[in-house]
Amino acid sequence: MKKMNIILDETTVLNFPFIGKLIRRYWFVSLIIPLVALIFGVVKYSSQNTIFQTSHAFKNTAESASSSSAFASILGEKNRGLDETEIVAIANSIDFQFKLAEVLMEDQGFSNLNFNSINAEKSVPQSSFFAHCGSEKECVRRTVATLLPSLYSVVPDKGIINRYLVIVRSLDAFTSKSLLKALSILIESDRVKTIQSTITQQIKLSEELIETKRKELEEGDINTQRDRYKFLVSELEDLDRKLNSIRHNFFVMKQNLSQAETILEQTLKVRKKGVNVNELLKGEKAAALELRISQLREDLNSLEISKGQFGGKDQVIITQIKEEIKDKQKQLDAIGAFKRSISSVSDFVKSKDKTSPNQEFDYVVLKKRFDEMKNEYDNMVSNRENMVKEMTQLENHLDKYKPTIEFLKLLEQKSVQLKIAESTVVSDLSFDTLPSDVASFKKTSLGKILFISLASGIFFMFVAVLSRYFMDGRIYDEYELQSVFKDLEIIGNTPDFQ
Amino acid sequence: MSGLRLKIGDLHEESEKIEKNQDDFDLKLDEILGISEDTPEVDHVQKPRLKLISEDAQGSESTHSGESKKKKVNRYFYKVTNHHELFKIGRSFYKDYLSGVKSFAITSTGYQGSQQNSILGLASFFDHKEENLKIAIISDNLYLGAFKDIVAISQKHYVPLFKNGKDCEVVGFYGHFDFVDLTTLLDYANDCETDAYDEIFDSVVDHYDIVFWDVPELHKIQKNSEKYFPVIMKFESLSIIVAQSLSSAADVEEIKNFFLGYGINLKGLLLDSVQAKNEAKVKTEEKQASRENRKPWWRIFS
Repeated sequence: MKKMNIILDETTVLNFPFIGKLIRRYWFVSLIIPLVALIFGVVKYSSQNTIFQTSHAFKNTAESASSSSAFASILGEKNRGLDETEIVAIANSIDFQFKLAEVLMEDQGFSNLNFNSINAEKSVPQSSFFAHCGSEKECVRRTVATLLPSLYSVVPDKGIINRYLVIVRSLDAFTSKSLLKALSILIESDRVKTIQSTITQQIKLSEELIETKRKELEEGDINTQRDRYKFLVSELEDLDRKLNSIRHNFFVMKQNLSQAETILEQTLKVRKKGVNVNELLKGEKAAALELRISQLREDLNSLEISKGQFGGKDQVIITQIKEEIKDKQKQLDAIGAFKRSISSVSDFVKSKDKTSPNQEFDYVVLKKRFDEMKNEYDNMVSNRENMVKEMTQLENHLDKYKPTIEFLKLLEQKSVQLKIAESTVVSDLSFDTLPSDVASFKKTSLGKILFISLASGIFFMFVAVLSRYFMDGRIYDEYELQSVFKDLEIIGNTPDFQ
Repeated sequence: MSGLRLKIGDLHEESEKIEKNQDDFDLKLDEILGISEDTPEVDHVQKPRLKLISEDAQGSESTHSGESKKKKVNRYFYKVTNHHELFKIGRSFYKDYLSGVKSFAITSTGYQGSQQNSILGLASFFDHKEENLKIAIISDNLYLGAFKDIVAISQKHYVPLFKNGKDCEVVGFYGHFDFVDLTTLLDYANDCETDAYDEIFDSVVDHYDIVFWDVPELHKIQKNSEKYFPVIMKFESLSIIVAQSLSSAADVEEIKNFFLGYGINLKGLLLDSVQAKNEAKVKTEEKQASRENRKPWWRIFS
């Protein structure tokens, strides 16, 4: 505890001057430990393997505009693409490693690949890795698959979003290049296959659903019902069209028939009643007067237009004509209107006498035709009502299956679109055209190793010096003596004689 | 090293000079005859070497011998490399002495040479500081280490310390300080016939103005604590020498706790920075010697 108190300081925590004194006191330990640490660092650096590193960048285009994602988005798929963890984990799956091993084994340069880990203390030939396999190819593949993960990694690019790097580190430049090439190809193709398999699965699922829904509809006899409904719809349309046409003719004919019936009835009535002779003569006289007035007015108008051509005679003639018109008008007014109708009735009766037989015939014909048309019209209306009734029933029935039918339609639509997407799928991980050059370096740089070894050396030196100090019970100077025996006075140094 | 030479004859003046200059310090001891400078060390601890001053200096020194001082001038001296430190600790002990403390014990975590150097330095300081002080250095290692050479050139004489008027044999260093063998005192104290368990130590402390105890190693005391108990009880002040880079805190703590258990006043800690260098030097020499003696690897069959 006393020694601990000497080492500690109230202001600087550690009593640095005293520690410095300790370092000088145990100079050998203080010198040898950092020196050993430095030598160890240098040896460690020189014993490190030279690592050959190359990388190939790729971009995750899932978020942007690959055709597959576009199709998927059209289909309403949740197309979030791969996130960072998934991309980094792509190359870590066992399946991927086995596929990669297979690709490498098929390569001609497989025998020249160096599968030693970059941390391997001693590099061993390739054959020693597969010595236990003999000629068993599957064993070799398994061994290669277990060796590969230590040689590559997929990491996100720190500078660019959605960009990643496939980094290959091996003890041989050829191995690094070959492995990187295989990795780039395999990652892309693997991604395409993954997307394709996803779409294929979706297609399969859609078709299964379609089949199920179809069966469901077949069980409900929906197709027949739907066909019948369609038939009825078209029939109804025809019927409506015909009905419209007939309805128009029917009403025209009905009007004609009514008119004919009235005419015939009146004709018969007129014929039966007969005509008064006085009344008839008055009427004829009135007609003659009206005709004369009309002629006089025409003459008057002519004279009025050509006024002045005949000198003073025109005025005389006009006056005479006007006098005559007045006179005739008075005569006509004296007869009155009754007298004129008698005149026309007379004509009418005469004419009816002539046309009466024809009208009767026409009416009979018209009546017969009308009756036929009415029957036909009534039948059509009845048919239509039946059809509408049946359609309503069918509609009700089809409405129950409407969601299923709609769903089926969508499924069929989706199935088609998925098939298109499957045939046009591309990888959403797009590699750069060229990989980086192969760089060679040691795992830990000389500066770093020296720094670490020196720092650790100094640390261990401190530990050793302090341990040595704690284990060393001897007293080396007055300061230490005073610190240990605070209750005793230091009188001074003993005399020394020469 | 531009040394300031302390002469025993005019100790007071010289000490003042030293305090002013704070420079190097050469401690001149009394003339020692018959001392071999290359006497082999026993405990592998580099001991201070007595040096002989030049003839001219000797002539000038001899003028002091004519003065009426009990202490004689000698031709030998120790050169203190860190005289500043010696004065620093000396002043501290002197301050205690002025406050009435006269029995100073020096111990360490097993570095007897360092203890002896410190005691020798402090005894010399007190001897310089005040004239006519009777200083005793009590040690069980008088014939080893730093004391060895000085004891060898000192003269035996007897001091009436024992009961019944018996005298105790001590080694007097030309009147400056007496070296008393702790083993002799302990033997006397533990002699049933004398029946003087702790009185002898009282007599020693009473007889001398200042007593420096070269405390034996802790394990010796712990092993025979009854025997050493009266000695420990005479310690009025205990200083622990901590050998830099050699002594462990646990050992120092053990010593501290041991003497605190007896209620001894702990004066403080003395840091010995020389011991580690000496040990390293000895180790290097030993390695070199073993390397020289080792056969070349290609002569393994010879």
